[in-house]
This record gives sequence, C-alpha cells and structure tokens, in this order.
Amino acid sequence: MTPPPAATGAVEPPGSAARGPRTLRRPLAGRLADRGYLALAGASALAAVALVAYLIAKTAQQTGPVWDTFGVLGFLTGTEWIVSPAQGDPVFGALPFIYGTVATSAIAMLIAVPLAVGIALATTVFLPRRTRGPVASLIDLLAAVPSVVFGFWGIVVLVPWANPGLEWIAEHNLRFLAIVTVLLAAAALASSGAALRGVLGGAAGLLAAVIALTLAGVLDAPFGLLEGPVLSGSYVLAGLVLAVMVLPIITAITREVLATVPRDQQEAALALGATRWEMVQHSMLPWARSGIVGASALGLGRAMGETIALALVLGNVPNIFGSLVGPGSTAAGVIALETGEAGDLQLAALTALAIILFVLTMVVNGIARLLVRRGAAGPGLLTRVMARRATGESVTGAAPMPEPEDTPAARPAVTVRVAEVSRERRIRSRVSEIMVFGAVALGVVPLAFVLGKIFISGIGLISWDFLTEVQPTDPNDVAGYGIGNALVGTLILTGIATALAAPLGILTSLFMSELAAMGGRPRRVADGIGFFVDVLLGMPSIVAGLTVYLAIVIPTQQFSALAGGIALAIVMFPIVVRSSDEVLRLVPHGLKEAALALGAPRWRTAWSVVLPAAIPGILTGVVLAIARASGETAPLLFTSLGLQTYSTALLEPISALPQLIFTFTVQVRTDESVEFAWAATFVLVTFILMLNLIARLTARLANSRETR
Amino acid sequence: MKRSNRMTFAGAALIASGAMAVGVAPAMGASIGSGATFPQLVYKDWCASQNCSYTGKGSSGGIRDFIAGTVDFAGSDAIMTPEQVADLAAKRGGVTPIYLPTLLGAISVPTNTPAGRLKLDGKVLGEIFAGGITKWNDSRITKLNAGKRLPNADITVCVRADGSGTSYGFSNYLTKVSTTYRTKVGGASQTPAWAAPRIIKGTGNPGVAQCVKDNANSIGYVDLGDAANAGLTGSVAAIGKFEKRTVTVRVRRAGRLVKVKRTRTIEAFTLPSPATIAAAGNLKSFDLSNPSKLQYDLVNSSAPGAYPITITTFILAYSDYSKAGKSGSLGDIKSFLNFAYGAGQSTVGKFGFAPLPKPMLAAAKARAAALQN
Repeated sequence: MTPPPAATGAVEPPGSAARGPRTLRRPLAGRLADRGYLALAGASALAAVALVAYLIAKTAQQTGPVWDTFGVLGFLTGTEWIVSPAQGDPVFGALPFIYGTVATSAIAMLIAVPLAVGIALATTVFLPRRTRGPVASLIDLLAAVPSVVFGFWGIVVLVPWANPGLEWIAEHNLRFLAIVTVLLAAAALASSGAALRGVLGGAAGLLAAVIALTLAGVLDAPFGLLEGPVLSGSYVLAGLVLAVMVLPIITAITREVLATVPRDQQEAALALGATRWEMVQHSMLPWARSGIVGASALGLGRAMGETIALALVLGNVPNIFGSLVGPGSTAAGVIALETGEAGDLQLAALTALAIILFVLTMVVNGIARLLVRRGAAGPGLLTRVMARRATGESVTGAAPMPEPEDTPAARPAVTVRVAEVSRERRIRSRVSEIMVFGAVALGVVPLAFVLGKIFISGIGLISWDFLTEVQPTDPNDVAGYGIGNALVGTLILTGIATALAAPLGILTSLFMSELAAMGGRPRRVADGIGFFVDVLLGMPSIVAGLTVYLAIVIPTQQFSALAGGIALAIVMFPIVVRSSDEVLRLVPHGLKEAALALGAPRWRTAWSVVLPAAIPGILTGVVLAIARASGETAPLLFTSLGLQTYSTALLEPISALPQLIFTFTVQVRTDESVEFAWAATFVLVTFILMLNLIARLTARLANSRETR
Repeated sequence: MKRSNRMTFAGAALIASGAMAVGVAPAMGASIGSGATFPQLVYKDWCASQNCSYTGKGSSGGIRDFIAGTVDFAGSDAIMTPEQVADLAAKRGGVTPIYLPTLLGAISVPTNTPAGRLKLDGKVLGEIFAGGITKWNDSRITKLNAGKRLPNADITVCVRADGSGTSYGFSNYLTKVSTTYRTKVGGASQTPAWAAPRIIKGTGNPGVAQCVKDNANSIGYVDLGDAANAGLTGSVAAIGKFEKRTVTVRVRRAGRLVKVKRTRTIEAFTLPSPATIAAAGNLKSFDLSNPSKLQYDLVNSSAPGAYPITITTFILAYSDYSKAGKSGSLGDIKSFLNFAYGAGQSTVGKFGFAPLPKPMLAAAKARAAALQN
C-alpha cells in the first residue's frame, strides 16, 4: 500500500497550490479520503485475490491422490477415464477432456467472435439509428437465458435441423465440403486480388486457393473430421450451441467498448474523406481492440466453463481426434456430471481437471493479454500495415487528405480524382459492410429463434396464478401451479449476489485502473489482479458451488439462501471486474488528468469524473453478470439446495427459477413440463430485460445531467 | 454530479435492499431431503401435502448430504458402502442408516429400430452393453425375434452420462444375468464402464430417452415414467426370463391326443407395467432389519410374472435423530413417512411406479414408526 499514498502526494501539492488559500483545509481531508478510497478499493481487490488463492488451494488440496497414482504426465496424457472397471483400479486420464474443451471452445469462438464484432459494429455504426437499440437489446436479453435453455434449444431445435445437413456432408465426405469452401474462397481471393492489384493479384489469390485446397485434402485423409455416423451428440453441435450462447456477452461488451470511441476521432476520419468502413477500420477497431479481446476472453471463459448445455448436446463420451460429428466430452462437463456421484479418487481426478481448466484459462488469457499489450505499446502490426497501405495509396492515387483547407474550391477536382481511386475503396468498403450485415443476419436469426420460442410459450402460460402459485409436482399436470416460490428465491439469491459482487467488483476494477495509471510496478500489480480475475472467469460455476459447500454449508450443517448468494457472487464477481475494467480503461486519460490537475482528490476524480463517464458500460457489465448468475443451476444444488414452498429466510434452503427449469427439462420432460419451463424462462428473461432498461435509463439520465 | 451518480446506482441498490428486506422474514423449518432423482416426482408429490421438501440431485449426492448432516433424510437407489456407514457413525454421533423402501419401479429398455417392439433377454442385453453384440441383425437377437426384419446396422447404445441410480439398477440386473457383462464390465455401479463401441451419453433419464429417439438403430434404459413421457412406450422391449410355468401340452396317450398340464422351464417375456412391477414383490417374507441381506433387492425376482428389471428405492433415515443432532425434525419425518406408507402408496401409479408389496409395506411401516429421538 506504500505506492498509492506516495503517488497521491505527488499529484496533490501542485493542485492545492494552484487552488490557493480556499483549499487550505481540503488537502488533508482529501488525502485522508484518498487513502480511504484506495484502501477500500485495494481491500476489495485483495479479497478477490485471496478468494482465488483460497479456491485454488482448497481444490488443489484434494488432488493429491491423482498425482500420486498416475503421475502428472500420466494424468495429463492419459486417454482413458474408467470410473468402475470390471477388474483392477479406476483409471483417470485428462487428455480427452482437455481436447474436448479446446475443440468445442475453438469452434464456438471461430463462429462467435466475428459475428459478435459484426453485430456490435452494425449496432453502433452501420444500422439505421432507430434500429440499433432494439437489435442491441435483443442480444442483451439472450445473455439472460439460462444455459440449460440453450442446451435444450440445441436438442429440440438445432439437432433435427442441423443433423440432416451434417449427414449429407458426412456422406459426401469432407473433401467435397473443402472443395466448395476453398473454391468460394478462391473466387473471393482472386476477385479481390484482381480488383486490388490487377492480374498479378488475381494469380496470387488463385495460387493461395490451390495451396489451401491441397492442405485441406492432406489434413482430411488421416482424421476424417466430418465422417459419419452423425449422432445426436457431437462436437459440431456443441460448438454451434456454445457459439450462440457466448454471442450475446461478447457482442454486448464489444458494443460498449465501441461506444466509447471518441466522437471527434470518428468524425475526423469521416472528415478526411474516409468511407464508413475505413473510419471503422482505422479509428474504431484499433481503439477498441483491447476491449474486443477482453470481451472475447469473457466469452471464452463462459465457453470453457459451460457445463449443462454441453452435457445435453455433446454426447459426453471422451474422444480424441475423432469425427467432429461424433460425441466428445469437456472438462467442465465431466466435472458437473460426475461430481455429484463421485468416489474419493474420482473426486480428486475431477478436481485435478478443474485445476487444468484454471491453467488452460490462464494460458489463453495470458496470450490474449500479450497480444493486447503489444498493441498498446505502439501501433500494432495490423495498424502499421494499414498505415503503410494508406500512405502508399495516397502516393499512387491522390487521397483528399493533404489539402483540408481549400475544400470549397478544390472539391470538384478532388471528387474526380477520388472517384477514380475510390472504386477499389468503395468495393472494399461495400464488401466489408455486406459482411457486417451478414453477421447480423447470421447471429440474430438463431437468437431471435430462441427468444421467439420463449416469448410465444411464455405469453401462452403467463397469468397471475403462474407468477404466484407454488411449483408443480406432476410434470403431466402443471395447470394451476406456478413459479412463485422459485421467482422469489431467484430475486433473493441474485439480490444477495449483486449486493456482494457489484460493489466489490467495481471497487476492484477502480483499484486496477488507479494502479495501471501509476505505471511501473503498480501497473504490474494491476495486471496480476487482472490475471487472477481471468482465472476466476474460466472456473466452472460448479466449483464455486463446491467451495461454498465445503467452506460454509458443511460447517454450519445448513443449506441456505445466503450460501447460494455467496456462490453466485463468486460467479458474478469476475464478470463485473472484467467488464468494468474494459470500460474504465477507455475513459479518456485527459479527463482524469484534468480533474487531478484541478486539485480534485483521487476519490473525487473516480466518483465524479471517471465513474460517470464509464457508468453505462459498468452497468451493462453488472446486468450481464446478474443475467449469468440468475441462470445458474449447478452451484445452487450444493448451496441453497432448493425448496418446494415459499421461503424468504436467508438461513434456510430456497428455490430458484433455473433449478425449476432444469428439473422440468433435464430431470423430467413432458410436453407440458417443457412449455412450463419455456414460460419460466420468459419470466427470467423479462426480469433481466427490466434490469437492462433500468440500467440504460439511469445511465442516460446520468449522462444527460452530465452534459447540462 | 453527485446526484446523477446516486441516480445511477439506484437500480442496483434497490434490488439489493429489496432482497435484504424480504430476507428478514422468519424461518419455516420444513424437514429437508435430497438425493435420488428416480423417485423424486413421487417424493415431491408426497411432500407437497406435508411439511417437507425434496430436491433430486442423485443418490450419492443425497448420501453425502446425509453424512454431512445438511439434510433430515436422503433418497437413494443404492446401498451405502461400509466406508460411508463408518463415516456417518463418526460424524453423526454414532448413528446408523435406516433403509426404508418406499416404492418399486421398472427400468425399461426402449429401442429405435424399424422392427418396432423387440424381445430381449439378460444375456443379449449383457452382450450389447458389453460390446459383444454390435449389430442389430446378430443371430442372438434375431433368434428371439423370429419374423422381424432387423437391419444390418451398428447399434448405438444410449446410456446415462451422470452417475445414476438407474444405471446402478440396470447394471445390477446385467451383472446378475450375464457372465459376459460381469467379466467385461463388472458389478453394479452408478457409472458402469460400458464397453459398447458406439455410445452416446445422455443427461438425466430424459436425455437417454431423447438419445434413443434421435438416433436410428439405438437402444437405451430409462425408468418407465420417462419412457412414457418421451413417447417410447410402444418400443419398450419385452424382457425375457426363464421361469417354471405350468403349460398345457398335447400328448398322444393311448392313440389319442389329450391335454395335460406340465411344468416346463420356458423363457417368458414380460413388459414393464405397474402390475408386472408389483408382481416382482410377491415374495414370502421381507427382512428389513439387516441391509446386508438385501432382501429388498427385487432385481431378477423369482416371483412368477415379475418384470425382471424391477428396482426398489429407499429413504435413508437416521437411527437416532437426537444423536444425529436433528431431534427437531423427527416429528415431521414420521408424519411424512406415515403419509408415504398410507395414502401416499395409492398415488405412485400415476408416475409409472408400483406400490410396495404388502409384507414389505408392513415391515417398512413398523420400522418407520420405531424411529426415535
């Protein structure tokens, strides 16, 4: 804690000196308040780090037998997972699950990140202003849908729709698909090459296509990645469902990040004659790159930690390098499925898997952070390439940039010259814009499908009784019953979790941004905290549940709403920190420095300058976190257990909406119970919609007062 | 600016404080149970009219809660291991678990082939789930299903992904009736090491039922209620069992054909239904005092007309509630069990289960009444 006060002192004197005698009393009070503020923020950050350390220690503690039995390498490279063999001892190997986690997450991210960036761009730049809000809200809403519903949507809607297509592909083999894809790519490459660089460009594009084709053929031969039989659980299906699931969270945060790009920067680009796409490419994306990586890390965290949706569509059979249309299994999935019934060595192996998952998340996030850091240090590789191309262009064709002053007079001449050059640029911009709209179509259609199903079923069943009566017991006779007790339970659980996680999370992210602003060692500390938070992000929520079970439920011999709230707070905390951090990072430095230079103490700068500027993004993050937490099932079975009747007692078991939905889709399933579950989801989504609206309205209110 | 900030946080604060405010309401103290999902619909139904609440989370989860003392009773399809019993005694003041059977249920075997309803028996099922039979037109299957055209297709085997009492019951059955299964896969387990070459693991019994529906040429095992809910009742296999039956045969005696009654051992195929499930319990006596005698294990029951894969499910209660630190909940539990063994028995049918056979019911009722503080 030594660096912060020292740094504060360094900033304070010039400010107070400039202020003169009026500020005579304030420096001391301000300094004390500053210390208080930094101490508070530091304490919450410390709490977070301590929590992660505790989680890791607690989980690591239980894994001893695994390493003793199989050895570290043996466990990591083991390909068999046999819980109760006919002869001999159980065998546990982690490799198929590591492969499964990586494969499903990779498929999901490959699909989701481009779509998310496309949708975020469309809702900030390309779509007509009036349609941006609705499309964005639609996406935000889906962040609130419990993952079990996505999984269920997977088996009910996606499997019957996608599997015939996959079968067709499998029958005609991947080579056929590869040929089509590569031919399309070749056509695109050749035409764009030709458009940009003439015949030579076209030839280069064709050559690249031929190389890709050969590679595809070579790769396909040994693996048969899309060979049949096509089963009802597969990597491809799981990847698709995951992509749809992580799309909302990545889109929402990317959107917030893009919204913070300074107006003048955008307008400057446009004023210089850039097309809308060029404005996006040169002034928005470089600015937002770190945020997009952060958003993707959040999405990846959710993808790697996802359990129940994958359990429903992945087939749950450990399987390495098998066909992608066949079943597989992930680390988080097997943890969730087997923890409930595990014996001692098995539990140790499952915990070891959780630790491997921690490490995987760490590695991935570490790489992401490295990429961002390199970008932050100077113009990134991409930017430099673009800059070079831009300057090259202005040499060959005359861009309008050099002569900004004589616009009225020079306009006709410039337009003629621009028109000649800008055909390429226009094509490029148009193609990019079409791709953005394509992303909107591709991303919004399945999401609208899910929401549509929820709304149609929801509206059919919703009534006062549905909202207030207790839950049904017979899945074939749900009429007259409702979700009252579960709804109250969910409100209480998320209330506790938000009360714990939101302040702690926002304080932690403020602390990180204060440290980061100091540079040097404090900055590295901030990075360290960020790293810990990222680790928490990738933790399957069931691990949070298990930890609270061991630390609170067993000692007190009591399942309780409080324990459930704490478990959900652990799930929410990293989401709040990560999203606030991304937004705080983008608050213009000038704003903060101006405030500090005027003699405002740090806490006041944070409270009156930084927070108001960042509040819309922070609130989006909090709502996303609530959305995620209010859809959780797995940790609740270990903490708040569930209750069939109304309860508002904090120290008694309590029911929750997602548990009810889980029971009526995964544990028992009839036509009636499924409709009931859709309707319950409708209520959950509406709850999040209301939170979202409140957040947006308050943010808008705050901003409008700001400008006044 | 300060005001705008306050406005901004109002939303979050409101929700939080609202939740806290309702949280002050007094506790209601229902007796709490957790465990097996197999009978959870029935237990929840019973609890709805009593001061109790049941959460389905798996037999082992229930046993763990039972040992930790976080519940007042547990539901389980499996017997506690000696280590678990010792653990319970050590942590809960030396109490022992009391097994109280509550109902009988069937594990049905739905298939998805063009041939519709099949006849299968323990030997064939053991081979399929141990990987010995991998094609539907295997002669061992066609022999049981004369006249049906079975495809020359690989069998997709649908099993449970999560540890489960249903898996325990089914593997318990296969272990009893198939040597191949016993040697290749081994004993009763919540998570058997199924050895079939093409497996899909579904989540929960509905997940297995869905798997059978979604994959052509597949087979699975689910409880009768879930098979019905998934619309698979029509393709549930009739399970064969060798039993002594009195049959009428025509014998040429003194130059004339006469009908004579003979006792023959034949393979009888039985479909699961409340009647055939209940038939499994038609045994002479039950001893519930010693769980190691397993007299309530009705799998492969010798009773005539019994569906072979009939399983018993239990409520686990503490032998002494005050020693276990739960003296306050004994009253609620007794009235719950009283209801379960009285009016409750008549409602199990609508969930696809059968009530306890009379001698078993009497023994369970007596044991429940003797629970003490």
